[in-house]
Amino acid sequence: MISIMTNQPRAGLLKREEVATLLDRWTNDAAFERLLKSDPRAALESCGIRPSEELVAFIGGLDLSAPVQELQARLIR
Amino acid sequence: MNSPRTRPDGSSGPVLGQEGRGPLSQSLMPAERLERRTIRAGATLMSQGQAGDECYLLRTGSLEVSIADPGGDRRIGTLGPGSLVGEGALLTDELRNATVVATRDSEVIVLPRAALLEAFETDPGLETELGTLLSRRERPERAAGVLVHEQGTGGGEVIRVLEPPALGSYVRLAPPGWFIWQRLDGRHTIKDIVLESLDTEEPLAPGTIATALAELRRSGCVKTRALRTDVRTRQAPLRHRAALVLERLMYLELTWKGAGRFFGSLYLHGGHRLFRRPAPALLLVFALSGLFPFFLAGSRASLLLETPERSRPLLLVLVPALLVALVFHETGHALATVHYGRRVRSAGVGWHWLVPIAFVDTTDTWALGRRRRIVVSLAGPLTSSVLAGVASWAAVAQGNLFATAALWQFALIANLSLLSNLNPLKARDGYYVLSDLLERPNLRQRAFTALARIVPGLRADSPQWRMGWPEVLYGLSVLVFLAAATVSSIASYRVVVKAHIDRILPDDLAAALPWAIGLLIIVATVLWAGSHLRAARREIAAGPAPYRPQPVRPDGDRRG
Repeated sequence: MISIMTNQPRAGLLKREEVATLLDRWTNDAAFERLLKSDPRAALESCGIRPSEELVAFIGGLDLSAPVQELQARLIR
Repeated sequence: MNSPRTRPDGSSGPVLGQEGRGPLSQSLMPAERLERRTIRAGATLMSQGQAGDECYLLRTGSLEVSIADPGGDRRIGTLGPGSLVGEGALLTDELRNATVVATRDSEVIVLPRAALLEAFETDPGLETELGTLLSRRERPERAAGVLVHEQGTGGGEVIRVLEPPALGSYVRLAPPGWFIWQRLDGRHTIKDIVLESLDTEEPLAPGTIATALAELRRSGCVKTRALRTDVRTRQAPLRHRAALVLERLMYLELTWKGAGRFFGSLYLHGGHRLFRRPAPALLLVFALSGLFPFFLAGSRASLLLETPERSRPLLLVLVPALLVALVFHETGHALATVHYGRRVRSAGVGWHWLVPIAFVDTTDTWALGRRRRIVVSLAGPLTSSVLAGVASWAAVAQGNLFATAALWQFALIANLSLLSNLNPLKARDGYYVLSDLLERPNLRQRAFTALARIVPGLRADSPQWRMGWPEVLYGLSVLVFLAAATVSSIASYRVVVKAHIDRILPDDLAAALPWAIGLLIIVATVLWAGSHLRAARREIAAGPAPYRPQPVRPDGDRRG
């Protein structure tokens, strides 16, 4: 979500309070994440945020791959 | 377009009866017989530190959640209608971890423990959803005894590798992962970590942190909450259990846990000499020198091997020779592991698809830099080639034709095993060398995930796909190799084995058998490739595995 939810130049699309609102919703509603993936605009609007096209496009193309990787056992044969 | 659903008090939560609500509220709301309780504005629904035997589904109104920290009370969020609260203490042995107060007149549905367990039975999705909520609301804490190893990469980036306590999995942390790890102190929620990351150059998405936590929990690096013993765990469907039994039969491994001590002792009592300069270089030269006598002895050995009656006793030498070659090969890996100060977790023998295998568990080498890991991976093939060299030189020195043929056959097995092990398309030594060279741990798993992404129905334009072309290339190479190996296996059976079977079985049966075996190989290959792709697709579609507290065993061991 998030490089736009900052005070950085790219941001301004979301205020910090709006980020907190989105996070509260994400924390308490497992279905919200699915809605965010399938229909970012509706998801943001359901939290009272009127999203720009840039924000919707950004949310739709998020890379959620983890910066943490479990290393598989090295069973050398 | 949907109309915005802003609430005057800024609360959040799924709105009942509208889109966006999950199976949670769908499963629980029809329970009309459940108690409804009204909470006046300012009243406390539950307090931090209390025991809890019920949870609450907010029907109307708004609730504020706060926790008592050393620095004072901290508000962590406001819940709106449709939100579930208090489920953590209900499912685990822990006390309430937050205080919940109504910010305006509210009504909740009281869900006693029995009602929730009953709902689990009727709606399997509910358990998953509750697990997801638990993981998002908790304040995860690092497990005790986790060691951190710092490793540099070619690009100048510092990668941290976590060594878990006991025998859990190692975990590799990119810099954002390290940022998360440092905040797993039992005080930060996912929301807290996201908000702190907003002030950095690389802000994090909550889904990213959830995925990271799932990996860390699976590895044993983060504490896992214990499920209360009266919560029954769901049994896997019969077909899953049958598939598991079949897989265990096809991939049988007998593990020797005491191997670490044995190889440690072997290293101390002479093995260390093999790693003193110039021993490794001399061994390599000797191994290469063995190629000359190998080809020389081969022409002599063929005099005997081309006569079936005279060569038949050599078959008796074949199996012991294979076992000796395997044991030496694995010993090479194990001694290299010990040489770099890491432990061999276990060793063992078994079969994969009825083909005998031996293995050593060198998982501990994840704590080493990639160059040393590559040396450990190459130590086995080097041992095999030295063994082949010894056998080849002995074969040319022999006057006895049978002994020459037997020794040459042994060298042949060692050399074939060497080539097979260096093939990076099989999950053997060459694969580990390649994945370390490319700095791509778990390359096979990543390759199948990348392939599954481009299967129709998944997003081929995802960032992961654009970044993962080496994985896609590797995955495609593995599939092509499998197809070629299948075809060559069938051809080999027809050319080599059929001639022997003709003497034992009736003609029709002998002619049909190779095709039946070939068909079996094709079916097994397709099932193998299909299961990997399906597993990868499931993983992509589902996202991070939902958090499931572990049932506590009588001995207190929570590891599966």
